[in-house]
Amino acid sequence: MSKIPFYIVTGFLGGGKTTFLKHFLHTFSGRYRIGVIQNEFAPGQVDGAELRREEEDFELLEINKGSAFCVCLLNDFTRSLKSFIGKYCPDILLLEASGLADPIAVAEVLQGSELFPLLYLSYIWTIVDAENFEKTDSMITRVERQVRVADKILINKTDKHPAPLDPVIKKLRTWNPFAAIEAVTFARATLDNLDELKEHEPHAIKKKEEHRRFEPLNKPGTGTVALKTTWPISRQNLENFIREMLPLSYRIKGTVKLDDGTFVSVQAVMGEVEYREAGKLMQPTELIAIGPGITPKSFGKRFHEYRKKGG
Amino acid sequence: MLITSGRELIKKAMHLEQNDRTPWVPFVGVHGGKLLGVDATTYLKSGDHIFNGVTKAIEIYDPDGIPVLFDLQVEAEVLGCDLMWANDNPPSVASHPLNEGKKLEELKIPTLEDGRIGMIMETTRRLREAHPDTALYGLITGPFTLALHLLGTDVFIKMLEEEEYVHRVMEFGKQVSMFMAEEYIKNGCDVIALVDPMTSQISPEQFRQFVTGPATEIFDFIREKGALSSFFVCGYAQQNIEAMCECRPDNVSIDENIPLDYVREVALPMGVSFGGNMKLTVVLLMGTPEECQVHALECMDQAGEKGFILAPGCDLPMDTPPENLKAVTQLVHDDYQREVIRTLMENQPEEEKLPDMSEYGQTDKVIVDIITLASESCAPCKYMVDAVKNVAPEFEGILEWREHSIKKMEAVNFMNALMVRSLPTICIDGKIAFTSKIPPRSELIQAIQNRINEKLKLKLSQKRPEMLLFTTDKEEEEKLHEVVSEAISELGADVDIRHITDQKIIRSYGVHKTPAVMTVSYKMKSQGRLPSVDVVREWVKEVM
Repeated sequence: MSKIPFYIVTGFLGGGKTTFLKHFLHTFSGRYRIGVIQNEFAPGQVDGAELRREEEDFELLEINKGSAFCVCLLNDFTRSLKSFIGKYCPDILLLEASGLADPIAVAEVLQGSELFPLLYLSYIWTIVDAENFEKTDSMITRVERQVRVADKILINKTDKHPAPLDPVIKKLRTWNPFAAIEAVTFARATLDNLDELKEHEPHAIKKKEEHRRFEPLNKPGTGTVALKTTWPISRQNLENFIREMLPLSYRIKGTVKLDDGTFVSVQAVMGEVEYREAGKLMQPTELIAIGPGITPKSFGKRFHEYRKKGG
Repeated sequence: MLITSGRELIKKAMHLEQNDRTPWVPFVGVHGGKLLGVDATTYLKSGDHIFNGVTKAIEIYDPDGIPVLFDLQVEAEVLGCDLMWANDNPPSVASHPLNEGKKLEELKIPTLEDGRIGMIMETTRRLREAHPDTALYGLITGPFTLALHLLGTDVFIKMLEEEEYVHRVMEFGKQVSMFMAEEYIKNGCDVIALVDPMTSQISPEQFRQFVTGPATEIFDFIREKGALSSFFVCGYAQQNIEAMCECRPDNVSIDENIPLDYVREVALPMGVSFGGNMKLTVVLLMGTPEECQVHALECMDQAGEKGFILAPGCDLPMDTPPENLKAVTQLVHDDYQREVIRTLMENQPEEEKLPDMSEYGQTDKVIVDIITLASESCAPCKYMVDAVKNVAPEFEGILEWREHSIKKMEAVNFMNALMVRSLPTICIDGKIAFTSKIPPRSELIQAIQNRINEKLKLKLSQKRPEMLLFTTDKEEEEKLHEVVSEAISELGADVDIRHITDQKIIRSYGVHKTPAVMTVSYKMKSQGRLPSVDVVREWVKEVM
């Protein structure tokens, strides 16, 4: 059975996630069976109802209303998502993660034995509100974390922010040196045929013209794993670990705590690895890997084996 | 030896005193409903269910401390937030009164008559009476999380735009917290945990601006009332640990997002004990009992002994397998089990070196393997080895036994090849026969005897006999054939006869004079695969 790509859109409260969702639905509904997952911590809590009023064709799963800020409360997510998939057989799944949600916690739940065979985390968009970016400086903790895990950062509402975006981009780059950045209005990100995703998974996704549908994935082995650990690792051991995992992965990305207390951002795409020093951070190591030979157990096990090696 | 109660252990840990062992506090919330077979909503609304669920958890997990209830919506419900109830989670808050026209001045400090509070306090009192040796934790909603319940995510904007208003909401939250704390203490709670997970969303500056004041007053109040206190947080709150400790709780408790050694280094010099941070989803919910033990030990190693309380990062997922939590309890209570796990963590099996055991146990003798930590240094291992040693003479010549201490790498590989998961274990001919429990003599003898009988049956059905008749002339050959055939047919046996007449071949069998007779029995040892040297070695011994 092929696996369903799972996308996450996250970002500031009121940054435009729901607008992005509408744009996404508008672009793809009718071509793919889309499953949308929302949790209702969104302000005003009208999102679900509002979305349903849209003309687009999609199925909506509302999860665990209000509580997805906490890892501990994601456990029923597995069950509801599994039955949702069984019922609607979506081609793609998009989670609108609340402004307080932790995408890595979501990724960890996806790697459980029940969901792992069904889907893989494919791409994360993080929406940053250009208008409020500087004002929200005091909420940086949350914003920073969401930016760090992004594959693409959308700087939204640029029409309401007449000043140059350079300082915003500079700041975003210190948090995530690798993600693509796109400045947009009304969350209208480039989504044509999910081309940007194809770049990352060259064999994974292609469109079946005759049905105008996704052929979600012909590599049943493809999986996503998320590793979160508070244990540091030496630079050398990290590089050796990444080198070993490279042939098994399309992509590895994340932020890793080194044994000298500093962090390094890692991005490996199709065999090419880049490291950028990230200074001192108040967070655990977080790595996401996507690939045909990746399993949650082996990835974590090898990481810890390398971590314990001398030198 | 004086046995220290769990309650004492918790107190000592919180006072940073030397402890006999690390205390363990499983945060059983709706998981208690799982233990009783009722859904989360039914569980959280019934004092009897909560009493029975916590009691059951105390029975099977033998914890040092346990929460009465893990539901951060109790206060919000009373203050007018709509709750969305779920089958397998605590409820969540679905409306925010202060964001929907309600005035702060209209909100009243709750009383025992409101919502579930009376029922919860009554349950606390019953639990106190029933479990005098277990530390009871009363969990109260922290003022910032309560502010978020009351205001919704607008609280984040208001912190920037209407500071004074947020301070007043926090002040109200403080009074609610104090009311709840006092009631919990009156009814017998040892520890009041101020649970404020949403503080993970703010910076240390904001924390000190809005949270430090009310939180410090709450902790001072709890101290005055003679109870211990803990500050619970979950999520990415590492930046706030120092600010949390400045509020002078007796303990801070964190989840998997924050390294325990970091918390130790911040908290201990400030005189604050700490706890956490077992992974809820990946390990406790989805892992195996062995993985939970390894993880618990890693937490204990990272935290060190002083002032540490082992606990999950947050409310246990409802469906956490009880076996996983029992495994953690076993690890915490059992030095031996910790030593086993530690040794196995150091000696990881080398997959490429795992011996092929598929033909293990095909020898004539019965092989008894005892896999141990090391019998010379650990008592349970020694008893296990002695048990085998003592019955060995009964089977002299047909039993061979040996000990494999996992301090040696080859024993770790051997153990993994035999799929042995816990120690000490006795395997008979490569099959796990007794684990952990020392078998009584009669049971061990019976198990070995059963295997001997099995082998005997197998042997009778597997052997292929043949008689070799060595002769040098026709006459000799015919006479010998006649004698041997007669004997075979008398016995009705299925034996092949082979004549060997070539002098060179005859000599190669070591035969110097004819006629000569040799009996041979063939036994299939393996086919279709290359056997490993370990296995062949045993076959060789058999025919030596």
